[in-house]
Amino acid sequence: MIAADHAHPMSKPADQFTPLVDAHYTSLYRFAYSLARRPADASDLVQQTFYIWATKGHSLRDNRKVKTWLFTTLYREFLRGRRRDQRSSYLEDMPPSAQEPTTEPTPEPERYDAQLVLAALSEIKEVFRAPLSLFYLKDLSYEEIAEALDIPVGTVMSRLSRGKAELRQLLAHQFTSADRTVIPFPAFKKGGRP
Amino acid sequence: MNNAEAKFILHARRPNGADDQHPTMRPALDHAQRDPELAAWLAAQTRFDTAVAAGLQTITPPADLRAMILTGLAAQPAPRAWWRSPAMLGLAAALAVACLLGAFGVVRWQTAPTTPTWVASPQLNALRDLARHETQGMHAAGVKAMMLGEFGRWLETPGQRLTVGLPLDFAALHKIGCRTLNVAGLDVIEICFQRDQQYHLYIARRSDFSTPGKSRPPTFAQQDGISTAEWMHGDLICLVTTAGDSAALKQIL
Repeated sequence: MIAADHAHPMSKPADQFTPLVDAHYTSLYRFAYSLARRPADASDLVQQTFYIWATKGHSLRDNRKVKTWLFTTLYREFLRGRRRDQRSSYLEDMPPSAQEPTTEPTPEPERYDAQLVLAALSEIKEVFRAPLSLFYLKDLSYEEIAEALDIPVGTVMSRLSRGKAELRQLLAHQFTSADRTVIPFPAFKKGGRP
Repeated sequence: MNNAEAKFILHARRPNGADDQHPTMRPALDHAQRDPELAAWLAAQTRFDTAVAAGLQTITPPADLRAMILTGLAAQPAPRAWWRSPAMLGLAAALAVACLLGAFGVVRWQTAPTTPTWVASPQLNALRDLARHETQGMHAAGVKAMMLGEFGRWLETPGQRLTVGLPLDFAALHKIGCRTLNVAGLDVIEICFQRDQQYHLYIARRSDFSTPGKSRPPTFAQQDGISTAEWMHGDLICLVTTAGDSAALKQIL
């Protein structure tokens, strides 16, 4: 029936939500976790996002936009829960030369383990963390990231460039710190105090 | 495109190659194929991105999250129809009252004031000076069209006339990535675009001028080897410049 196709999402049987939830809840959770950094908060954000879709998603006429809409909604819900990082304005205004990655030697990327990457990502300033997380989830193009975060495409590129530089530095630091914690202790035990 | 510009774009290239055919990404990738230094940088960047993306993929949702989402959605009551909400009923009542008052002539529609004639403006002169300096290569603050997606491609399409179909929404231009310069108190958007030669386009809001003028067709001028054309388009004052005589400008307007 035509009327059924236009019915409000909330009036549909629950099993009609299943394909949508299955398609997106994992990526949404990963994005939420990278923002909130706590599993419970990330789960809340994902549930709230789907609830909002169920109550307001009927206004979305273009089905191709559902994915971007969900990420946008989750990000807005996250921002609603906290104040924006006040440093974002001056970071955006930095000249392109200041946004170039450093040329410091860094470990081979293949040697990074997942925990190290997640720990480094969680330390990135939020203004970079949101676009970086969406970029590394690989679900959205940079144009869709711009739409999801409601920022210009050029700003997405700028934040990715600057954010990757910061991430690379953090990973290098954490990698060497991890190495240092392993080596000195046996040396002290064996040789005693100098 | 130089290496710095290519790197800036390639930072947004997903390591799985999903963006490789994008009109903005393709020229940067082609440039990397021709430049060994850039190619090496891109290979290292892709390895780094692949490693980080793999780390993010290890985040696993709680086992019960999916069930909680679906159960929560099924448990929610259907919302009230929009036309039965108190807000919509209030709005309908307000409209009814407004129509009633209008019928009795209480509500009068104010006509827009006629716009004054175009006059020489210190702000416009400052904008003209800036445009000439930029076109002479003395400064480069503008955003390149290739960074502006569909609108940028439209600007660089041969034969496309700027006076026909130029977006009129200043806010929309901001949203797609245009930056604002402050010129004598005016917010001015600057975009550099390339066709057979390079052009600089400046867009300001007419309402921001202390002495706004009325709409008129493009007028051309030439000074110090730089040609300019100015015209009004709705609430926008547009100025485009290029090196050489005004023949090239007349072709794109």
